[in-house]
Amino acid sequence: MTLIPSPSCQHRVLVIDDEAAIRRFLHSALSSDEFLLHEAESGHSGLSAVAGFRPEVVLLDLGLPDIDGIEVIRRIREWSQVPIIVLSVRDQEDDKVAALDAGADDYLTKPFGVGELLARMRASLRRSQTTTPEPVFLCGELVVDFSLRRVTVAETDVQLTPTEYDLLKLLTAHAGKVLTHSFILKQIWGIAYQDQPQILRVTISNVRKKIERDPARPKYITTEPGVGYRFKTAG
Amino acid sequence: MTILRPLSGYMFSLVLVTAATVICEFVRPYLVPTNMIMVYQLAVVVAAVKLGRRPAIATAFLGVLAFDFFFVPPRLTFSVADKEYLVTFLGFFIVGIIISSLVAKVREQSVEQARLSRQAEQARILQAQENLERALLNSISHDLRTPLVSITGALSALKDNGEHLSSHARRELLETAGDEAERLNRFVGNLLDMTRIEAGVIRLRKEPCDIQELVGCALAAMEKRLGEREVSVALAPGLSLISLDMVLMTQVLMNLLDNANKYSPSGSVITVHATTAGNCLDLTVSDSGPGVPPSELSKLFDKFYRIAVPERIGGTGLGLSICKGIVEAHGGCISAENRASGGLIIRIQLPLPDCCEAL
Repeated sequence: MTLIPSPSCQHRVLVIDDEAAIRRFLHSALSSDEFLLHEAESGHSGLSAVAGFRPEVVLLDLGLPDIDGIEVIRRIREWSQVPIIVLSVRDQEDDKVAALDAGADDYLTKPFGVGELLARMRASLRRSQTTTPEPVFLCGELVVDFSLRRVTVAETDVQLTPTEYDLLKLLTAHAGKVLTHSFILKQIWGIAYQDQPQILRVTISNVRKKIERDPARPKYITTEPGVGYRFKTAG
Repeated sequence: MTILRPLSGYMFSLVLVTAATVICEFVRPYLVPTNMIMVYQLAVVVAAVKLGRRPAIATAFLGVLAFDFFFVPPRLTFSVADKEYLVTFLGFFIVGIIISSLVAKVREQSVEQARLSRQAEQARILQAQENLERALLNSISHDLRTPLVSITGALSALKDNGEHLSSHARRELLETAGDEAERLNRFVGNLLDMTRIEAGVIRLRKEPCDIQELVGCALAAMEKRLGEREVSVALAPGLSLISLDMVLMTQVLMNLLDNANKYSPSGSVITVHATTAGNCLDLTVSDSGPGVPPSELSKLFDKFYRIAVPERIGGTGLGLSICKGIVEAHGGCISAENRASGGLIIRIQLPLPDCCEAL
């Protein structure tokens, strides 16, 4: 049986990676009626493909032969808000932070499984498609009612300080996405606090104590060591 | 430069003879000149032991001259009134030469012996290093190849014979390949960490960390490998933030949890405990496994050390030495002890900020 690609419901995915083996793997893994793949093997060809192919998601390798991956992100962000998922190797926490701060939406550490990749891609697609935030955020036992500024866990009210509430609101507003320390600090406390990670640590710890069943095994707010925090969404 | 050494030897014989002369001058009222020659003989022995044959002979020669000049009547001339003294001179000189030769020979022998034993020691160290390197290489190639064998085998079975296999068998092969690929990835990561630690290029990105968060990260990363295993976390209330490299410290805890998981019975509990002890943070990971023989406790952190266990447990022998490298880079220390109730405790102690201020 052959699948006839129907452009209307297939998501256009651009892969920018110079490794042929990885492009081949992604090609087989993502070949389905859900995605339409376009491959680029350098930063320059990738940038022109963003304009020509109009992808809905970009999978970008940071170690490209011609332009630095971070630079590719910056140039895309000059005119496009397409979700960018960075593919990077372990021990490149600095690069991950730089990529996220330059405007990448997420990252995957190589080697990664297809399940994880698909989950991240779908989450990015979902985020880019929803424009108006829901008035109520639901995740497991946690309910955040933005209109009432009310937070409940298993139907029990949770008393958060204004800062704790703002932090939870920021994380849930970007649910599924990694937020870097400096981004959160800037958003919640302002630019003057960007180099004061301890204030963020303490606030995160306090929020966890109030919303997590076991704060040592957080289910909602997860830590990405060396990078930032992610509000974990189911699936 | 090389001429200085023998020269300084002869200078020292002159000093010895002068010293002998001074002593003789002091004892002159109590001794007949013939007995004074013993003092000079002593100088020759000292020269032979300390300086070698030639300076000793020089000392004997200078000794005869000094003895003759200062003490043999008529004094302060080289002339000799009593010709019997010529026999004394000759006897002294010959004894001096014999002593110097004997002492020098003994000296040379001991120097040679020291040289030989040094060479033997060097050869032994070299051999030990070679053995260790061979063992490392064997271990590394074994650990790299074993997962590759399984992966290649599983994939080729699927590729060449997939249609004849049951869906259960296919699933099993795929899972094997996946697990082994993960193992290979961990091993490569370990090797990289180890290389970085050994090269001294480990760069800490310290940030204030919450211990609960640290433990949480390690548990989350180990979730799949720990499976149903119960991990009890007991953290003292009110632990302050501590400045450390979150990524590397998470790695340390992961390695410790992985070991505890591998080396203790599957139903038993692993305990993570953190408290403040003095000016240090005291973090322990304990298991209820067989523990480690006391004589082996210190070897636990050696590179490629693997505890001898009946069944082969897949490990690289790198985990704990990586932990040691990372903890020490933080100015902390890591140690192992056996639990009174059975099992092993790995203890990490990290200096707290107050500790550094006190220093």
